[in-house]
Amino acid sequence: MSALTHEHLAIQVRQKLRLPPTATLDLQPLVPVALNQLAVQVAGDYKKRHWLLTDPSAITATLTSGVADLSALIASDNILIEMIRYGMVYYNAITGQPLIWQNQVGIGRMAGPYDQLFNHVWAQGTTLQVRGPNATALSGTLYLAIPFVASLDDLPEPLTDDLVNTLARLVVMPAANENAA
Amino acid sequence: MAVLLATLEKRVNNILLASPRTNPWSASVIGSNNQPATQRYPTDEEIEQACLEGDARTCVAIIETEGHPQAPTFYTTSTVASGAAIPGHLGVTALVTVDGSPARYAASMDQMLEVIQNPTMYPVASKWAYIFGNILLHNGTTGVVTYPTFTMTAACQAPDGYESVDVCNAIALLAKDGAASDYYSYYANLAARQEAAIRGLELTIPDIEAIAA
Repeated sequence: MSALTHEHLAIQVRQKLRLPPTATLDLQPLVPVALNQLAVQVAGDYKKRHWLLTDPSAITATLTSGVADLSALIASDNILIEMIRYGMVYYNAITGQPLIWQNQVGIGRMAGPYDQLFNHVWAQGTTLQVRGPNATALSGTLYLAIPFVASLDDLPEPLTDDLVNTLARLVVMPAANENAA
Repeated sequence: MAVLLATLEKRVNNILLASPRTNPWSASVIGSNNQPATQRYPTDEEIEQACLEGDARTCVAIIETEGHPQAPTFYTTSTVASGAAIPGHLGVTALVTVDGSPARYAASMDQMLEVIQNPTMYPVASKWAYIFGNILLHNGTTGVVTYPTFTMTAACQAPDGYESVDVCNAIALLAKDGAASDYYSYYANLAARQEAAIRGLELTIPDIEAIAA
């Protein structure tokens, strides 16, 4: 994991952009924004997204009658519900096949091929909904390996350059960066 | 080592021909040697006070010259809470330390206040300070300001390398009505030129580096 602090990061970006020393202060409030944007970018990049997936042995949700509420995980573990589809959701055991992602509620509820082989999962609001074989409402535990917004403490070292660049982009072209995100 | 007052008084008395003829290199004036009190400089105290005031002018010139190599002679420190005034002083503050380390200066009072009032937005912004007028703002527990100050005493305080400046200052201050004005003007001019030389040592602050576009 990176040993970067807010100040280290601000100094790196300040040097990169040749900003005055007081920019070390100006940049610090933007670090959470940069981390957020980096998480979205990484989740959308198939080569990098595995750097920022939650640990499924630690991040779990209780599934009750086919519904798992993620609101607590959103608040405590910064998971990106808009990017869950790029992760893996396991039902009751991490070792098995991950659930098959369905793009929308309607498709999720519709009977489809391989229903007998795979469980299906889809999102509705801040809940995950799971359908078992023959539309069985499942209960148990979901193990989540899904995109999340890292803090500086748990940012993988190989992503530090990306974070520096993300923060630098926020400074030099904030509007363009907002659109990209 | 500072200029010696006794030597300074002897130099001034000698130049002004105010010392007794029997002892020209004297720190006492004629009037204090039972001579008639009708001389231009009848008391030692007048000469002494002019010497001390002249010395003070020299010291103030040194103090007010930012970056002068002799300025640290006059430095003192005070603990100042954030939002409190730095004690009255001469010249510019030399250093602010916050919680034991030299502080970095914020760009503006607004920026400093923002840091103080929103610590969660600036999680690793320790030991920053800003001086607004003479009010110190900092985001630490203890702020210590190092600044130059000057208090006149019964002794000279200018470094001894500046004795000639003290002599010129003292004589310039002793001009009296009816005296030879060109004589005093000569020393006043000499004092002004030497003071200009002192103040000419001011540390020039380089231009701020342009921000890359």
